[in-house]
Amino acid sequence: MDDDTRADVNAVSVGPHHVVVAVAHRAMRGLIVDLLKRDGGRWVVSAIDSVSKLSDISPLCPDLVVVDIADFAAVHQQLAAHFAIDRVVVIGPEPDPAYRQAAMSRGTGAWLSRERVGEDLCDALHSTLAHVSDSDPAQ
Amino acid sequence: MTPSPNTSATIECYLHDYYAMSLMSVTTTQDFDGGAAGWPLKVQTLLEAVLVLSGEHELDTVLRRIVAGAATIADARYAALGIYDSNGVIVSFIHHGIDDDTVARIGSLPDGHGFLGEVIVASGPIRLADLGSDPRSGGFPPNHPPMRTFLGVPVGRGRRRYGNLYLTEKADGETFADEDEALVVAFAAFAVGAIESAQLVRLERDRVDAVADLAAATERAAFKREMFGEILTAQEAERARVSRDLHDDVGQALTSVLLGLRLVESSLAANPVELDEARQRTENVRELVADALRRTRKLAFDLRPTVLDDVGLLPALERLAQDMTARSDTAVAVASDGLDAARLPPSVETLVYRVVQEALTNITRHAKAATASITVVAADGCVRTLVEDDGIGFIVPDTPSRGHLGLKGMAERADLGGGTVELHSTPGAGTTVILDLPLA
Repeated sequence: MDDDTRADVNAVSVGPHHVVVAVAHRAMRGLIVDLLKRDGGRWVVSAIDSVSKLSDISPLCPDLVVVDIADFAAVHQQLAAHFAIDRVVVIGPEPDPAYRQAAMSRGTGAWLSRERVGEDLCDALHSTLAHVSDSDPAQ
Repeated sequence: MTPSPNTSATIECYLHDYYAMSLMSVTTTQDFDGGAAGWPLKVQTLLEAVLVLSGEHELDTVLRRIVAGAATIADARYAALGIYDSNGVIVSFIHHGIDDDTVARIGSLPDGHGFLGEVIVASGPIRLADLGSDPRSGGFPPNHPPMRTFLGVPVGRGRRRYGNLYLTEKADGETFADEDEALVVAFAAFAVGAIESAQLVRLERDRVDAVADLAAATERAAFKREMFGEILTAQEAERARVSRDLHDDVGQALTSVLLGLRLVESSLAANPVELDEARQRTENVRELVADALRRTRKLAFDLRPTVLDDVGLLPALERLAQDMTARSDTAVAVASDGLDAARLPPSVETLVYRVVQEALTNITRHAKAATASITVVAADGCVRTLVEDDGIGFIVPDTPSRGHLGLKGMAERADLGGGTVELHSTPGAGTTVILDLPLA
């Protein structure tokens, strides 16, 4: 877990939602964390720096997990074992709908391409949360 | 069905038995006068010559033994066997009794004209008391030894004519006698069998060799197909790796740049403006771009270093050595001789570079070497490249197999350039790869 986000790990509350950024690329991971932190305080953000630490996700009890496609194939099974796959947002390599279809067919909550991360990630997280809520209206 | 390699040996045994039986037949049915003086010795000579002949199945040796045997049987100083084609042209002339110096002084061998031509078309033996005085004789060429008495005997079976035996200068100065002619005719009959059996053995050997060549060619083709498949697989794996590196490594780095710029915009749009944070993020973006540039350069270098095309082989090898030294536990040095600033042909530079690259990859993966060296020497129209390491070494396989694709790839590359690759290694004593290439 990155030092700069450690303080936020236990700050999950009802209001802001807890997001774990599970991206191996260090710079990209840090910048996504910064991006989410600047989104009006809507997110409590944690980060894990390696796909081998996915088992750390469960104790964090996140609402959402963000992964990059570079790591997704390797972590898909672990994510499914430790977390609800429909609350995973996948960042893909290019805006080819085939990537979206492939990710969504595996049950992920949302997909966006890398060049739109800055613009679309927060919306993708919101829509994933909404989708989760909508999928079970009884709750 | 693939014939047994022992097939020709079996035929040889059969032929030997055939000869023994034939010999018994001749010696029991010929109307030789066993009581006359000289016949038993001459017959013994014939038998010995036939036995010597029957033990040999190499055609050239058979022909030489026929000539020598005929000379012994007829007690002739000189003997020869002319083999001619269907047009009566002598295609081979095996002689006995004339030393090499004399042959050299005579110059060309007989071509079947003159009196020899008469024997060629004769249906039976011809004997002459004085060869030179015969009107059909064309005379002897300069430096030819004098020859007077003559016995010519056709060598053939039925309508098949292989050639003629020519015997001259009976040793006692007499003309060749009836018994000489009879014995040489009998010997010629055996000679036909010997020639045919030698030809049969040669045909069988050629057939066995052809089958073996075909099997070897089939095996080589299968090996090439297998290797080509492995090379294609390795090539695709390499392309997949490069593509993944571009997609993920460089792609994520550039995504980070976009994110950084987005955050700069966010800082500048804040109220109040977060100028210090914007400056810091701009600095971070600059570092990200520089890092992305380094990664892109590394990828391009891995694919094909532009320094190889732009500057030449040695700078490219030095770069390769520096790269390996930086990212492994092996220190690599480069040395050269005879290259100076001259450029080698592009195909040679590429080939040398790729083989060295493969050798260094093998060192990184397997050798556990502390040091390695690359030496390139150009001389006498060739370029020799040595890649040596002080690693753990290994037992060099006779034939590179699956798992030795790198070795096979190096050999194939060298072969394409008309060169060779040698691999020398001993467990515990390092490895040396030697690439030799012609520059022309």
